[in-house]
Amino acid sequence: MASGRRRHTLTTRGRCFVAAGTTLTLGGMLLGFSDLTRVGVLLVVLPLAALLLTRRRPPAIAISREVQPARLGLDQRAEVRVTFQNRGGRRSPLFLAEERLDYALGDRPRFVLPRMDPGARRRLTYRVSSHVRGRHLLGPIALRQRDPFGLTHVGLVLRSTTEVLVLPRIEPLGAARPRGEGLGSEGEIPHMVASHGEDDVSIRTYREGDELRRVHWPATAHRGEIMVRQEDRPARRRAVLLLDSRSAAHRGSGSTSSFEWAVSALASIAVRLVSEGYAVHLVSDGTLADGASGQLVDLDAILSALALAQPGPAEAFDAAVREGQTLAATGGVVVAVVADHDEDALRRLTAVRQPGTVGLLLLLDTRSFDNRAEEYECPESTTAMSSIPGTAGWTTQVVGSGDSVRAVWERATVTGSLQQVGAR
Amino acid sequence: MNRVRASDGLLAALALAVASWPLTTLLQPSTWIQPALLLVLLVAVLGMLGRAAGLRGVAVLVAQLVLTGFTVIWVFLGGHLWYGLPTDQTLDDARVLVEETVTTVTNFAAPAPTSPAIIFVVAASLALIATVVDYLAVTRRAPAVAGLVLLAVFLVSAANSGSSLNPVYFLALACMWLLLLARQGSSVLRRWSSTDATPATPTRDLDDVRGIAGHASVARALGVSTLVLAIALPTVLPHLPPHYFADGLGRSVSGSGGTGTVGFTQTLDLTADLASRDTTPVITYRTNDPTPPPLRVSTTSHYEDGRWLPEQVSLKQVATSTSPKITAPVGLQHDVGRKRYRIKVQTNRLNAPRLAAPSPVVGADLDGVDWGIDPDDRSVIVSRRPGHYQATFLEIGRDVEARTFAVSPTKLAGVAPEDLALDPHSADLVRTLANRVSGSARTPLGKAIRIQDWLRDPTRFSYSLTLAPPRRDADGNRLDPISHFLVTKQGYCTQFATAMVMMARAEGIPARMAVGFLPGVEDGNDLYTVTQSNAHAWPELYVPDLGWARFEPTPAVRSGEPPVYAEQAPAEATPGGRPLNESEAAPPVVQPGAPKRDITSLPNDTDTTTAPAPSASPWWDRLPYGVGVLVLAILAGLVVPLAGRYRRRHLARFPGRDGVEAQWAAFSSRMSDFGFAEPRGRTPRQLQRHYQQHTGLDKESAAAMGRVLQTLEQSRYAVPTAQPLSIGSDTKQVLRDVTRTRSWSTRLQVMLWPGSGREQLRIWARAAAELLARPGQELGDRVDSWTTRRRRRSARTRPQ
Repeated sequence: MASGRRRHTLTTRGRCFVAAGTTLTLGGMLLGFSDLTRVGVLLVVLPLAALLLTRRRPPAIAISREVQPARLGLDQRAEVRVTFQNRGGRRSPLFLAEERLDYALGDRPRFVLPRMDPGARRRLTYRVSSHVRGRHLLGPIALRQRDPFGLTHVGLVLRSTTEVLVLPRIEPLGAARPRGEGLGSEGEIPHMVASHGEDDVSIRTYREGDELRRVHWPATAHRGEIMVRQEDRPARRRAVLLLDSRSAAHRGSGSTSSFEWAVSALASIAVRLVSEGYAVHLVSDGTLADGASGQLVDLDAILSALALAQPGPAEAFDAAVREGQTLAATGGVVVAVVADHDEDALRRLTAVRQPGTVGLLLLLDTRSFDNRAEEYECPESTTAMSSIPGTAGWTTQVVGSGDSVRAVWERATVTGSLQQVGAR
Repeated sequence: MNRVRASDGLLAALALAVASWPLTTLLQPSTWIQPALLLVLLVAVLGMLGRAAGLRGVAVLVAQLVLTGFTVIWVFLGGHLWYGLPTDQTLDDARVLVEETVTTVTNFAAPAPTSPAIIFVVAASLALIATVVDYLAVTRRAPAVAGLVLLAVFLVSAANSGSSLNPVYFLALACMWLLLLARQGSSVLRRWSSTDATPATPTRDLDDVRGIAGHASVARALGVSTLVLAIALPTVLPHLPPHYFADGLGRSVSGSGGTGTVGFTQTLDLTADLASRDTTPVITYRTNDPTPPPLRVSTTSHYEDGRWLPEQVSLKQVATSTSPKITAPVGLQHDVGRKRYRIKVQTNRLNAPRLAAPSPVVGADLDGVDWGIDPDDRSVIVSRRPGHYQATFLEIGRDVEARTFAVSPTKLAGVAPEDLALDPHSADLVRTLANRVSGSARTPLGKAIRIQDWLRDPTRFSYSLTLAPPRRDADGNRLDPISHFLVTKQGYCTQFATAMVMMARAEGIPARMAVGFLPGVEDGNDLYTVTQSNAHAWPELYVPDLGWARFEPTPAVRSGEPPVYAEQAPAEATPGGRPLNESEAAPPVVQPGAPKRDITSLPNDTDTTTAPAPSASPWWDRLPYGVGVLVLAILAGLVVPLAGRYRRRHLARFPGRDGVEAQWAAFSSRMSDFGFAEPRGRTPRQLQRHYQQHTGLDKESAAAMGRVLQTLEQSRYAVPTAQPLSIGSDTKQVLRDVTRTRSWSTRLQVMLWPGSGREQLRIWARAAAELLARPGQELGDRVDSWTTRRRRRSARTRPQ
């Protein structure tokens, strides 16, 4: 509904008219020129009449927005449909309107909202796209009521906003799978069950030793014997994705920064792993804060979390490592994208991988994101750092700014097999 | 096409043409119109071409100026061109034309004759202004600022016409300007949009997605109402008499050096001249007259609409030769004593065809300039301005034999009927006063002297360059200038002279107005200097034996002594001694034919103050106005309740509604007046719950309400029964209860300002606005539907 500030003012032109008109009227009266007085009265009356005309109760305009699709990939276009309805009992005046959009979404659509009879609706359709991931606002709508002579100005803001979520860049990673995941699918690695109960509930008769709190009372009443819920814990391959969101660790700016590369890489990997049937946990600042990291969530939630991921304080990384350790305690693939910042932190991270499971570590050579010179060589410190996780059984890849996620992913998975060959 | 802005350009050109329209009142014949309009059109077309060629901003202006300038030169100054290019000589030609125009403008009263020089100046100026207007209004899209230029053009006419222009000129210009403004407004609208909000519900204006037509109808409503106010309001606003600060057509032009010249205002209103601080001498002269009389320039007998109109001078018939034949002054008997004096004017800046000299002139040497004596008023007419000249004039002596008119004044030589004409607005008052003042004097000279002395009395009248504020008579009309002066007793030479002329005419003495200069200041070396502020006006009366003789009603502080023959009344002319003094003031004389009310506004001789007490009318005189206002207020107060009543009846008459539905519609509308609007789309049962919840009715009324809604339900959904249903009495009871339980302010509001009435007024206003928006179409639709209805009705009633 319409709300917000409403300012009635004369424009500069209107004010000039009133001032000039008053002077001319007085001058005409004092000098005895009724022609002058007429001009003066015209100049005074025109803006005041216009002001009177615009000084009405604010119109009751309701807005509804539909964004299709509501979740966008980078540079994907979405169609926004805004419907205006005059809910008031009188005709709404004509407005010059502007939909305020976040700058990343492109040009702000400007349009004329003509006079609407009570109950009348108008629809505005425009497209948005963004090359910056994150949550972007559509609206509010700024309305400007303008009289035909440009003498008055009434500003009004319709405070109705809608969000549009722009997901991080997702690269298709091809058919490569993480090394050592096993050949089968669900149910084949029964010891890798989730720690929490989930899904597939069946009901069976009570056996001795069953917990009483599992008694399914409706079924008991129905069957006349004690029935209990049996919660199967089907084995699912798990993966823990760990995002290094220390703002101090990352370099580069905008969409070419190392943090963006990390987000995009994790999003791509999450898509790949989910398509392979993995239950994926995302451990990042955001998921730690809202407690989503521990739960099994669907891909959309992971991508949303990644879309909103922002660099944070360094302490959060330690918390993420601890959480990752907990999640991976019962096994599962661990994928971490980490900046080459702090060797100690890296060593702590290596403990996340449980023996016998796969650990993939993409080590960001952050200097390369800062320094985009063609002849760039990976500094020795980074190379040295990259060997640390290897000693703890991780597969490590050093990532430069120019590397595509797919290439790195393939390298990481292939490297794993090479290592196997080497071990043979 | 958008870049060219052809329609805007033409509109701006048209606006300028309209702004220059009142010039037709100043220049005649209107031969200047065609070349000027063609040039304005040329400027507009050049602007369009410039914009079409992609020029921007000032470049368009420069192109317009250059091309228009050349066109002006080729058309008007084609004499001395060098391969189509202007030369020094062209500039000289232009200068000559401009000087000629200035001379014409300063010498002629409006309307001035349109000479080729004037055509050149007007057309060239309008072309220049047209470029500015086009640049501002079209190229820079600032029509509001362009209005300033248009206003200036308009004011040139308004300031020079002497009175206010016909409102049509203002109306036309205002319309054009508002149109320019509104067009700019809608172009802002057009340029604003990057996308469109399309209608999702049925609308009438499918073509007009951006609602520009709706915007335009608002503009029309706003513009029309403003114009009506702009015409109406100034008629009620009080205005002082016109003051002039600028020079203009027929007004004085004072130059900075010695080349400036002086003219007289066309209305013979000397305010500006008298208030002038210009110390440049208009005339310097030496004379052998020890007490030189005023220098006369011209006279006039025509008084119309509160001002003196100048006599038209036919230059060619009068100023014939360097030594014309001079006839003796009309009516001056040769036995009257006179003396001949000589005046030698050394500098003269008074413009041709007028010459300043004491009257009557009997001989002159104008140094080779053609001149002559105007037979009507004996003023000297010259073909061009002489730099210096000599003249011989007569001064009438003291020993005048007072005679009465032997024959009717109009039969006398040199006297025209208009010399006896009174101004109809002030005739009654002037006659009464003249009758009283001249008293028992028998001869015209005696009467004239009494009138003169009555006016000269400083205890009665005061000399002031500023007039008293406007007065109104008992009927609320503004006093005409003569009555105003006689009532307020404050004015300057023009008022004194006019009053004396009119009073003398009322007494049957032919009289006219003379204007000229006071003798000026002597520098101790016998050289008199006359400046513009020495301008003076005095009456000339036709007296037996003397002919046209000067009198001096203006108080001595300004004018000095009156002429000797008017200084002392002849013994037989004033048997009762000096005219009226304070002690013998008669009670106010009631003219038999004069309306009774005028007595209160008559000047009272015993009143020695200059401003008489404002006329007070008894309160019952104002009673009708009070009653009228009260009736109007009551009628205005009834508008909304009556509209509400109409709305309820209209709702009840809605097609398809009868019986219970009609009653329900009226009841629901009344309830919503009380603030209980009927929610839409509810069943009667839901409505019952709604009303019960919100109205807080007592038990009885709640039951009535229940019956009402039950009946409504029955009428809507049940099988129709034979007996008619009605909810009349129950709704009345509910309404009574609702009324009773509301606060007095709510009840008052429902009575005087009901929502249903406002709703109806809004509907009417919208219908009127739509009618205004599409006058032709809408009216056609209405007529169509009306005729269809008629046809249907007549078809129904036609016998089968």
